[in-house]
Amino acid sequence: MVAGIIAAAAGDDTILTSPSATATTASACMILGGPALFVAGHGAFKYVVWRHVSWNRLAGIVALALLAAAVPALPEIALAACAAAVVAVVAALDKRTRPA
Amino acid sequence: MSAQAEPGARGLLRDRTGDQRVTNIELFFDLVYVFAVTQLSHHLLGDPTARGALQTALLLAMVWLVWAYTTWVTNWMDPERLPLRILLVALMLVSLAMSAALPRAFTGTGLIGAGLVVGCAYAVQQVGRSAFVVLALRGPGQQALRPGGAGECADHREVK
Repeated sequence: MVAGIIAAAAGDDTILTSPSATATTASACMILGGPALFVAGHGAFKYVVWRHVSWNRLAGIVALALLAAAVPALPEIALAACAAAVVAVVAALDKRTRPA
Repeated sequence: MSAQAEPGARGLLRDRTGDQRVTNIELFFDLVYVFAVTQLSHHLLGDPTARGALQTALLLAMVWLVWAYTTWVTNWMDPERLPLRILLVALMLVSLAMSAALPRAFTGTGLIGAGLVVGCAYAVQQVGRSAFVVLALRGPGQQALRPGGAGECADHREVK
């Protein structure tokens, strides 16, 4: 999870310096890979502690991987917005599927 | 049944009866590691390649291990006691130096390069803290760690 945050923070800094630039491989790895790492880490945590497989998170990681296909077409900031949307959806689904 | 867990009987060990609250100095210690995480991001930014990512991962592992082992020590030993507070402040200072050197850990030049600072800071913290714990646990603390002593959790039950 911490590694994911480090990568995401590095991605944020890249975007802040040049918001409308098209993403390079390196910055795409940070912008998409950072949140993916965090979601994966959190999913692993949930499994280790509660033995609960989080399909939401697996779907989120797949969604982030699919976003990688859009890398040449989108500016970095749009990519980051999409990554944030994916993570937000995972969080919302969490709230919906949590047992009462 | 746990023994009376007053300071004298348990040496420098934490009182494990009753509510466990995190102390301010532990939170302050964590604050230094927030800075370390920021510095690790800067290192990744400085070299956004696969090699840079691996280097950042190694540095993260080092930072993580120092934090985790120190947190473990403060779980067992009472950070409200003076020797522990001195230990934590010393570790914080060395961590700050280590964190400051993190962004150039693999590219630093000069007589005392950033890499040397990171490596030495890591070694000093791990060895120093371990030595402190070995020394601090002599006497009543060691007694308290034996089964049935004051170091046991409050809900420990003896198996007859």
